[in-house]
Amino acid sequence: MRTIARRRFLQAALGAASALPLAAPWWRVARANGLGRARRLVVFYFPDGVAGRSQNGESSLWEARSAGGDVTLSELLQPLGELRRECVFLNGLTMGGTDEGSHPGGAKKLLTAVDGGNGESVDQHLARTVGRDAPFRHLYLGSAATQNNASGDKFISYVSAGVTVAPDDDPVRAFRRMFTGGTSTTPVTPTADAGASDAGAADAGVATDDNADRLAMETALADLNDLRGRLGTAERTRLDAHLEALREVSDRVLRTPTPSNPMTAPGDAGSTVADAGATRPPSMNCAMPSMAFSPPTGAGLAAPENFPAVLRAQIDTTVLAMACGLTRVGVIQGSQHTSELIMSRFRDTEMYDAGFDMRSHQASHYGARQDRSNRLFTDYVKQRRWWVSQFAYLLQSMRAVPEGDGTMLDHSVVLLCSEVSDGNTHSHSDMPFVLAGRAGGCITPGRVLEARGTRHGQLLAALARALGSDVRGWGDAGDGVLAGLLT
Amino acid sequence: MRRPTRWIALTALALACEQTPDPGADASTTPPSTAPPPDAATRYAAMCASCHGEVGEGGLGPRLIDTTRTTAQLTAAIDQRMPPSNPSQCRGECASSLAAYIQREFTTAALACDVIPPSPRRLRLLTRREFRNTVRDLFGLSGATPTPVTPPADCNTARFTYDAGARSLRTVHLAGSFNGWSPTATPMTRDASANRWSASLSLANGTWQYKFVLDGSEWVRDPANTNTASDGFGGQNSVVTIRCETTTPTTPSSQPALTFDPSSMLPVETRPQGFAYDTNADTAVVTSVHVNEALRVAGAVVDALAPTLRTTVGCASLDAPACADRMVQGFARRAFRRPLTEGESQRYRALVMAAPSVDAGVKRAVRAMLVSPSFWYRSEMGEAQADGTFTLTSWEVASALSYTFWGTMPDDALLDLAARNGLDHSAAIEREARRLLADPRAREQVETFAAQWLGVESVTTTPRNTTMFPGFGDDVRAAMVAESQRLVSWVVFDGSHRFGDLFTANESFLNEPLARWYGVDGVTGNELRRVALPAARRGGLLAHGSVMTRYAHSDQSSPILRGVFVRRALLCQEFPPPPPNAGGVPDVDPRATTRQRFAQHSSNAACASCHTHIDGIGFGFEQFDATGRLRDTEAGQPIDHAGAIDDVEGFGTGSSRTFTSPAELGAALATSANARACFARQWYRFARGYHEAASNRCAVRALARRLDGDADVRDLLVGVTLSPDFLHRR
Repeated sequence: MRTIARRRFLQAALGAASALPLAAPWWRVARANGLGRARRLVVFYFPDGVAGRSQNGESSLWEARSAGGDVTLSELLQPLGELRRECVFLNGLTMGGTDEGSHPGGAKKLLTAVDGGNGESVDQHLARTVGRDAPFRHLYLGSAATQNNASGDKFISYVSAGVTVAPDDDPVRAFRRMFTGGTSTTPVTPTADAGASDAGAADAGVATDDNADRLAMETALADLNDLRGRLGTAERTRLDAHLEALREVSDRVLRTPTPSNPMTAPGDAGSTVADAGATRPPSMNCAMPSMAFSPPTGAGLAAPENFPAVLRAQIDTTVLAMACGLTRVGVIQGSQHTSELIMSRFRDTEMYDAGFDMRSHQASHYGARQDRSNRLFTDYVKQRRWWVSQFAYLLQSMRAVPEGDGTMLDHSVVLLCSEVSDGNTHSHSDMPFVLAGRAGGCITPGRVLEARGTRHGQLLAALARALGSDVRGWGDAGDGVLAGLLT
Repeated sequence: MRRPTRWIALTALALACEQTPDPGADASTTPPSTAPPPDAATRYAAMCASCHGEVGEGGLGPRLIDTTRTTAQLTAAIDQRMPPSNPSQCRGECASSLAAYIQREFTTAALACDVIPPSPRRLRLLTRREFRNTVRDLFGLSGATPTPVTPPADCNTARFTYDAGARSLRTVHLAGSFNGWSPTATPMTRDASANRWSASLSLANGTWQYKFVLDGSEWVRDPANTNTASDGFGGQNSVVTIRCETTTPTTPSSQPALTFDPSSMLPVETRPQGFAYDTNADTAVVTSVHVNEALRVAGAVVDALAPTLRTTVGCASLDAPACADRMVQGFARRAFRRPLTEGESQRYRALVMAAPSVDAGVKRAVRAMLVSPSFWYRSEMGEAQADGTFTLTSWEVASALSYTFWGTMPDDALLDLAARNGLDHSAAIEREARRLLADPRAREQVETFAAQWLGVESVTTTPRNTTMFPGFGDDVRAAMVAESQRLVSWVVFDGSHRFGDLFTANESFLNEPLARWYGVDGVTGNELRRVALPAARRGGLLAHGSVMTRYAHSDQSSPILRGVFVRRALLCQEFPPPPPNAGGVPDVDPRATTRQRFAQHSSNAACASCHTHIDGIGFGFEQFDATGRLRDTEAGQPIDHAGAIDDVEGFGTGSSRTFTSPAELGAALATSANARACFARQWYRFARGYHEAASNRCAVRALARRLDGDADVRDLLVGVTLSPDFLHRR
């Protein structure tokens, strides 16, 4: 039923569908129907808000201002520099009055726009609709996002009402999953497959059975359909999700490249992107991907000293996966709300202080006013600037990838977000959203969009529409698409 | 299920990024899976229960059972003032539906526990731990993990050399995929005697490409390295592969073994807020990441065990048809923990028969089984009964018992009993439960529960300030977690101990690193052993380094986290979240003690309403620093570790008492009916895989009674499978 529907969609979208085999790689499809629309969405999340309007009423240190056709960056947004021309600064969006005032409440609403996370998040919606023909429908990577056995309310991606999925905090595992074909029998093309003693270690030197994965997937699908039949409507939500997951991997297995036919990028991303001598993006090569990341051992992945390197590796993997046409929807989660991340241990940053521990959430409660003599406040400012600098790195990486007549960033939508506005007041008003990318021409960046009091579900709806979804609104505020964003 | 028309509607919009949709357009465009507004019971649980109790029994807020207020009065109170942290959260219809719910449900008559209602039916996804154990037992792997061999410390150091021959060069740089192909980042140094340029670099495992950059402009491959790859510009990059892995020697053994942890690739479990365990069934949703990794792990397991696979599945010398039959009836029944359905039998039989060889067929079938939902779910769906409820089958009971008490698949004895439908009544269930509890695997399971209940699993990774706590290494951290696990399993299984000993034991289990950290003399070696503790350290779990470390920040103790831990984990008392503007942890102040820094909590009335129940407990632990060591002074002042706890038996019950040591607080908990009831509730959550709702209240209450009269804790553990709501589902 669904397959038929999908095919019908493709045919309709492509017009001359008969010329295109139905098993075409998704990127050809996306190129064909993607004129004038965003090809992908990246969400970049950081915890514990920003120095917004303070408890004593001092004005926000976050919001950018319009200045005669240009944008004046705020103190916190300074690290964006000239990248401001790639961004739309959204001032004044609110997540709504109910459930106001908490970190978990904000994290639950951030991408669902529904109180209590009682709905699907927009990234998951896009993954299973416009992103469903990508080899990976959804990519959710984190740095220390699952640490301390984080409860599910620390995650921002909701597959269904009240149900979050966990991001993958392990860059090596994530990289392998994306770039080694994802199964043990698939030849591992040379990569930074640094997984020491994981299952991949068993890959080498075993005679492969080319049919085994396909047969396993077919059998699993048949077993699942049996089970669904036996249970009727019981556990239907869980089994529907399982079915979708099996279908996605099944599709992927069936198109797994053979060594003679390595998976190549969507043509315009190029299999080799860089120019000799120029500053290249790290090894943007879809035929032979590699990652510049040295995996720490043991507890190292969770150690604050390694946080920046892990986050950067996850950004790199996300950008590479998108450049190579592997996915259209990515969420990158730095840490988790009410974060215990000791940011003063990040070397070579303005926060660094070897002997002193300053945690994210600790700094966020800097007090009622913006007191420059209070270390909590000054460190909080530095921390927030660092998060913005990481977002800037993501944008730079995307802009370094040529795509079509421009760059990958031109064909993308990138959202910067956190679960509260001011970290001390926990306010859900004047949320710190920044949007980047031209969305394939749908968005004109380099400006400030004042939307004081508008519900942020309208922004999420606009993003979904920029990617080709037909939603008319998003979340519990009902219909409405943010005015003045899409052109 | 989405309708095909949706896709057609989508394509109509596909060519433009127009923005204001036609308000009259098809209504199918609303977000598809936003759930309807929650019902009153859900709203009550989310917004009210943390103060008023799960069935209105009262807590930080007043008791609601048999309220004398009218519906209108209740509605007005909720509409205008509730919840106090955000009075606008529940107005209008929300307020009136809650008021009606409270008046209807929270009456003495409605709350009587005359019958224990059935519990929810679930498919329960194997956790990573359950998967690991199941693979071990399904294939009969040797339990012991072989000792890994670590590579030499400089194994990741790669040395690059360029022989310039007769050329005179000013600079040579190394550029490659490891440094973003920067022509300036990695200069090489010249050895004048041989005109040779070299650089050493620490590289991660993997395959790296590189070139040498001569005098800043000329890019050449490494002439000494024949391993090359196309550089995409018509030339060649040199390629170097680094593989420094901890390897595990494969010792010849009759018992097959895996050299890797098959669960290491799987995603972490999602634990709902307020649910401490990895077993939650509601949030265990299979994503494509699960499927991807399951497929990969299945392949790796099958490949690794290939030499013994035919023996394992029982068809070492059989031809394909006989092997197929044997597998379906034997191995597959163990893998799925039940007989196969007709369709499954056909499919797995066909996998064996259609393969090019029996070996290949066995591998295909086993791999498919390890990916099948029939393997990944253990069913607690039951069979329909005439009254509309469901009863677990003997097969389901066999799995529920083994995963509850062993964290793994049923053994042959259980499966044989299930095949005879011998697990359909309490006597047989109790007999089997007690048999399983007597097995060493039950200790491991209870220790898993203990670590999750106490929340101390993350002690091995949580950061500490190395300047303040030098030497707080992985060995100490791991021993701390093990200490708490051992104390719990000792109290449970030793036979002579009772629940209260968890909090009052003056012995514990230490190894040398931990004993040294604690300042306890006379313990040598890495094995934990039982040690009598000095008076200052006594007090069971409450004095454990694991608990003191977990409930602290990287550079300071946390009376708040410690107090909340006692309330939530040990007394099952809930708090509303802190209000906005609450303020965070006060900065470390070299002149003030932790206690002094938190004084504001009691001086500010808004803070005090909750913190009066929290901080007093935590202050009593102030003699333990953020790594569980004893201390006498802080900030140059003597430690004041006078603590106080009130309302041990429930908020509003009074009974305040003071203490100055974990032992004194432990004594209060040891004799507390509420602490016993909470322990029962925690075990119920872990074993059953859901957070109890109001409808499970009677089952939990009945379970707690199994500890009455200071009974053996094992009676409680067994009891969770004897409750009527174990067998009966809705």
